[in-house]
Amino acid sequence: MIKLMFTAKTKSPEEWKIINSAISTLVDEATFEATSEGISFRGMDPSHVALIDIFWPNTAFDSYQCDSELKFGVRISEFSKLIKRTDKKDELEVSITDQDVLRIRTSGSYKREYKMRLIESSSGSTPLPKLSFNSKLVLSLSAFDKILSDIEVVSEYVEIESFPERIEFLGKSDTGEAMVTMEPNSEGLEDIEVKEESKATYSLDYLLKIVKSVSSVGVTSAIEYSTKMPIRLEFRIANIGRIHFYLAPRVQD
Amino acid sequence: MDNRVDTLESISKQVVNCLLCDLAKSRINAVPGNGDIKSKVVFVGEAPGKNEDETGVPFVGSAGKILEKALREAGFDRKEVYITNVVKCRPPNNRIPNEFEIETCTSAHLKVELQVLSPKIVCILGATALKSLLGLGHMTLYRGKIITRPPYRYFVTYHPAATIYNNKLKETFDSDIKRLYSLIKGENKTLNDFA
Repeated sequence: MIKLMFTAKTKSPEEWKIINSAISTLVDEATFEATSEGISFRGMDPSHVALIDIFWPNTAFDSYQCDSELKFGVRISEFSKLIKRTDKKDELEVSITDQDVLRIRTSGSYKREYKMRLIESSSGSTPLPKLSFNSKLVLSLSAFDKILSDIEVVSEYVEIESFPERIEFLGKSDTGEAMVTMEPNSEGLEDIEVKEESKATYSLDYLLKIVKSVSSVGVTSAIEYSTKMPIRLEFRIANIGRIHFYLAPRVQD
Repeated sequence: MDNRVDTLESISKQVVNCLLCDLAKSRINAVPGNGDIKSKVVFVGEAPGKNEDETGVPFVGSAGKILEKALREAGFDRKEVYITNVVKCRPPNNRIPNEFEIETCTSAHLKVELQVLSPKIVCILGATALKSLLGLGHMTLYRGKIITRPPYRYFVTYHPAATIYNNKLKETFDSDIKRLYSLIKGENKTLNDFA
């Protein structure tokens, strides 16, 4: 009999799609860590500008079993290809039965089984930046996506400036400027808490990619930052839990 | 750092002595990449031309002069960046390198170069580099865009040689290099600065 070291079932493949799509914005080779509590992933892009920290608790799965802690490395592009073959309504079981292979089984219209060779997992752990946040806003993901896209028309960066009663998103380039103001009555702004007025600039490329990667299932994004400090986005996603995304600020030389 | 310098030097030696394809038969000199190992950007062109073949140094001919001028005007110092080519030997009559030459040369040399340099951005100069590094055609679709393909980010622009007889392309090329400069200079913070 095959001994299952780890097995996790979900009602659909959508959760893994989102996880893969979020991670693929930063890296291709990903090391997941499975414990009895759930699955986590933490990784930085090669330039160390952005970091993703995911925790997917055991309670979010249809069923979950992990006897002992284990790390497994996957090539996200390969993993995504397999997951994309599945149907939305397929139940999905991901398991590890020996050291080197991830098994993906679906049941739904018919039974399907893939085996994917694991890659070497990274040994080090990635520390989280030590941050305290002076400004927080909660935006609907669709509003956040729209604001960032509005700014992207003229600029590759967005400057976010917070005031007690409003948040301004600003983009500048040689060709012109763009500004979006969100006030408590603006559609999509769900919460605003400003302990101290804050201003910082971030790369739109990174922000838009991560926002678009989760926008099909995510509802809101909590956005936290302080002046000239990294920004943290928190996405709460049904059947996954939370995804944190950190991005270092751009500081003009 | 010493280790990386040594590795890069050994890549250069391998390039100089490389006999992996027929281009080795017609070259005068193989042309390894050159520049600053600490560079945050690596420029990747197509292949050496006549002047490069004669000197063994990349981008020293007329295309090199255009690149150097654009770099200077944008704020880069040529000595502070790293410049290389998809293929390290001159193809006869400056023809476009063929698939075998590209595959052989990038697997043996360019991929290792990029691993050692681990740049913040790889600047793709021209259609051959775009096709070789990302498998993409249609320069006009991608020019001026940042393409994230882990583990690297790529910035796509024209090959400076394409701008020699076309002022409009040259203006675009110059402004692309300026944008690249602001991309690199702007993003100087990393999350490690806040650990």
